[in-house]
Amino acid sequence: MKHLSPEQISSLVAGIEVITSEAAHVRECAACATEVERMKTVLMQFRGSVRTWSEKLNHSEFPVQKAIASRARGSDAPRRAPMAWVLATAALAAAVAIPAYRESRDQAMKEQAQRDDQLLMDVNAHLSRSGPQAMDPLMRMMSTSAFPDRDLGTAQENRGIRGNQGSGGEK
Amino acid sequence: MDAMDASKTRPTAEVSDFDSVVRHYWPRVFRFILASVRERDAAETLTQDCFLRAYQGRHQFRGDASLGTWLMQIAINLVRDNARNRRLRFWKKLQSTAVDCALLNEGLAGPEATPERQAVAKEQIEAVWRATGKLSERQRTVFLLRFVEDMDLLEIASVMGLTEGAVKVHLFRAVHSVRERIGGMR
Repeated sequence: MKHLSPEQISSLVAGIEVITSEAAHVRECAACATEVERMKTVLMQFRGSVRTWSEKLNHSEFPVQKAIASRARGSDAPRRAPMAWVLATAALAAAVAIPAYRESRDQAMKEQAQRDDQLLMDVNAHLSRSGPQAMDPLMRMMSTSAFPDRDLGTAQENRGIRGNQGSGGEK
Repeated sequence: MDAMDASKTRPTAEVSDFDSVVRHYWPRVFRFILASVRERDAAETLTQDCFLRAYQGRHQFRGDASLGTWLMQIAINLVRDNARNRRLRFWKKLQSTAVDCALLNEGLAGPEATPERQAVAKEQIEAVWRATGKLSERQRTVFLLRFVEDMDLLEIASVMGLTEGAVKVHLFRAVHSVRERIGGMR
């Protein structure tokens, strides 16, 4: 008796096509029937092992389904602004704010410098004064009489007045 | 009634009750993905992705295929993308037999089986695992859908977007290759 070829046995195991003559042979040939049955048993055991393994690993009470639900809700919710937009907005704000801040800071520094200069001038003026402000006219008179050349303008004025008076008398 | 058959009687509107869809189909989708990628974490992530995509696309589901077929289509695409994205790691895992054989072999031959018989069954199961790891992606998917998920050829063709003839060819090659690798008697 000619046995089934390996290809024919594989075809029978896969259940692809059942050719009548092959099926009849398996019914009559114990060797071929054993081989087909052996392969089918191995594949059934394989299926059982996968199912057992899967059930063992999937023992939790659908914790991942909660994750799906939250992810699904997240996908339905309005999307948050992408990071690129956040960064661009921040850069724009910085580009506007930094020059304005610098300008106000420069202005403040300039005003402070002016106030400092004024204060310095006042201090110098105060230090260079030899007497109180109220005595200025008296001090001017004294300095003019003691040092006639010091207040040249006043002496010339006085001389001019006197000169005018003298020329009038000659007439 | 098988989950796939049960889905055929479900109205399309039932997709809107997504909690029950997840509860009903989760074990099946997770099992197929786990058998394909052989990593628990990856399988859980991909199963989540599968149901998330289904949830997001639930309004496009027109009921042309059964709900189970539709979910399996998504799962197959995710497994394929995952394998392509992580090809090196994936094959490394396959070749290093990442499958926990202790778990795989639990209760294989039944409590009444002799230790010798259990040992033989264990060896055969491990050999099938190794053999499926050597199959092409399509052959492995067809093999798992046929022998783990008990799907018929037309269902497999529908899920994978292949003709029935193409499914037969892939299935024959897969079975023949596995049989050779696990040591066919002839």
